[in-house]
Amino acid sequence: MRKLQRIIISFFTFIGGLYFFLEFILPKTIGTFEFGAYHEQILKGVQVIGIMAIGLGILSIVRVHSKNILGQKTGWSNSLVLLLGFSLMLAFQGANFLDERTNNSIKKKIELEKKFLIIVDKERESKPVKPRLNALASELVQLQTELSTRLGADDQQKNKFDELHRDVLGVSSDFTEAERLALEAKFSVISESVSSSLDTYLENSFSKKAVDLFSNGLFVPLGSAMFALLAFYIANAAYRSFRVRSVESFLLMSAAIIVMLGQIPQGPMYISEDLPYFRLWLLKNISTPAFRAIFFGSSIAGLAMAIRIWFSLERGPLDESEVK
Amino acid sequence: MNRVISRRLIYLLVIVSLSIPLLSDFILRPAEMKTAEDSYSLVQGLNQKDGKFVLISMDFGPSTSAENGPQTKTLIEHLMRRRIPFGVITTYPYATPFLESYPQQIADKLTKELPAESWKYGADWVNLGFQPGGAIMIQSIAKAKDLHEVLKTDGKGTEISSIACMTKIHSINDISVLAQITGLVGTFNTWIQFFQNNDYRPEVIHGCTSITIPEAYIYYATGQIKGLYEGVAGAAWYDVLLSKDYPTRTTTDAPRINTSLATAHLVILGLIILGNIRSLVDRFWSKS
Repeated sequence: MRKLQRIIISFFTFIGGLYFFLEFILPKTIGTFEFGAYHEQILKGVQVIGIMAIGLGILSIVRVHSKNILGQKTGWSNSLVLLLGFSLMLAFQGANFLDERTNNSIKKKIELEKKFLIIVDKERESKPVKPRLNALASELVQLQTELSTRLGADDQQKNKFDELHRDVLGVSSDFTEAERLALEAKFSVISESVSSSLDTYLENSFSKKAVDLFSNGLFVPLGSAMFALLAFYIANAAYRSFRVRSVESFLLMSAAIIVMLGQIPQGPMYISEDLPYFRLWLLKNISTPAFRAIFFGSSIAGLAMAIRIWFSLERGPLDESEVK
Repeated sequence: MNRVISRRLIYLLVIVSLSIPLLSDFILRPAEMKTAEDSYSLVQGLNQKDGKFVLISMDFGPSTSAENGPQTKTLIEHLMRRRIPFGVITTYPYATPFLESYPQQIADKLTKELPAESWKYGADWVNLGFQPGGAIMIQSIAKAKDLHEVLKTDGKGTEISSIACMTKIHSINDISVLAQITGLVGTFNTWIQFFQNNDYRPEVIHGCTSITIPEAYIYYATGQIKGLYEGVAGAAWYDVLLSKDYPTRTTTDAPRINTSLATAHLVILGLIILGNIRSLVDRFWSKS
């Protein structure tokens, strides 16, 4: 069974690799044949598989850390903090997502109702105008109720809706262009006012404030602080380890000092105005060719690795040694 | 000698050198950066009426926001001042808080400076959110016949087709410039490799952290990058260029962070020199 699974995985890996390889090198069309005709759909499929991997990752995190907590293993408190942070963020972000979705659905309804006026006008020959506008008027009432449930009572907004409702019902059976344009203008005013109220509601909602607190108030400063610690280690390491013991290390240090001083304000101020240009020359003519050579080397290694993965020569998760 | 400069003293020196410029009004004029000038000229040369827009890929998290943040802010400010519509997008999930906050911060700053004008979400910029899938997603955008179909909604779930600044943007051909700003290794290579179709590739501006400058020069030297932000120093020089053209503006935090880093650089240089003197003295004493 495991052998069959391995064969299936290897087969699809090979087919996938072959497709992307050919898609990249072949011309857009060969005669009448278009190789990448379904490329967009295939890319979407790959994205879907990637998103499924996120789901698997979440399951794995929850399983591993729950085991740590239940078994009171070493560092179980860290696992608890991780799961707590994860659950809270998921809950707040989820609530915020639902809030945004409801807001967008209300905004979309108003836009659709506005578009409906044009459709009514276009199809006036085949479908009578009045019943359709009456249906639109009742939709407006429903929308107004939905809005007041969400945002609370707002007399100004209600008056605007009532006025629009009256206007829609009061349209003549001819439904002249002037009437349609006047209604469209009123729909635009209401749409803008509702959008603004909904955005304010979302900004002040608990879920949005919680998400802001967790991301801008905790995650961003903690992430920055973690990385900032590096500055202290670099300074310490520079003092203790950067020694000029050979010609090569002297050259390396000289280049580093020129590049460093050429990039900061003090260099040009106190040493030479031409320092930034000298730095640029060093980067363009000395550093870039060397870096390019290293880059070529690592790219060739990457290519070799890709070929090994393509032909399933790398050790996979279903290999005997991995399973053991 | 080792006892004279202890680890604690080094840490104290670093914290003092970093903090003083950040807490005071002490700001030094940044060093000239030709690469930042190239970025500035590219944005300055964009046509406001050609219906195209700029795509800013903000692939950085909080860890490198001290360098990548000012780069993004100065670029966004320039685009907003020139009324060139733009979209922000990311392939890195940790960047999502910045996609929302940075353009809004700049819009608020400009509205405060120029109360007669306004910059609105949807009309001037769009947040295309975090897009999972890395290289695959970049290819999807580059090869899409209709971007509205591929992206569907913005970061807030609003349909792309209903967003004013996206109505004329349907494919990569409608994107004049790609600005890719990152502190990650490999992300920029992926964008430059895949963000093109058979007939067209937008001009590219790249914002990198100081540590990845040598790698970025590979692409700058060949012309694949038209403009480059070299760490926060590049952002600081871009800020100076903005102030030349818009003298009434208030500066971003780029020159302040640059001054702070510059003093820290000097401290590190001083420590290296001291360390080498210590080494020489040690060698002399051990011989004698």
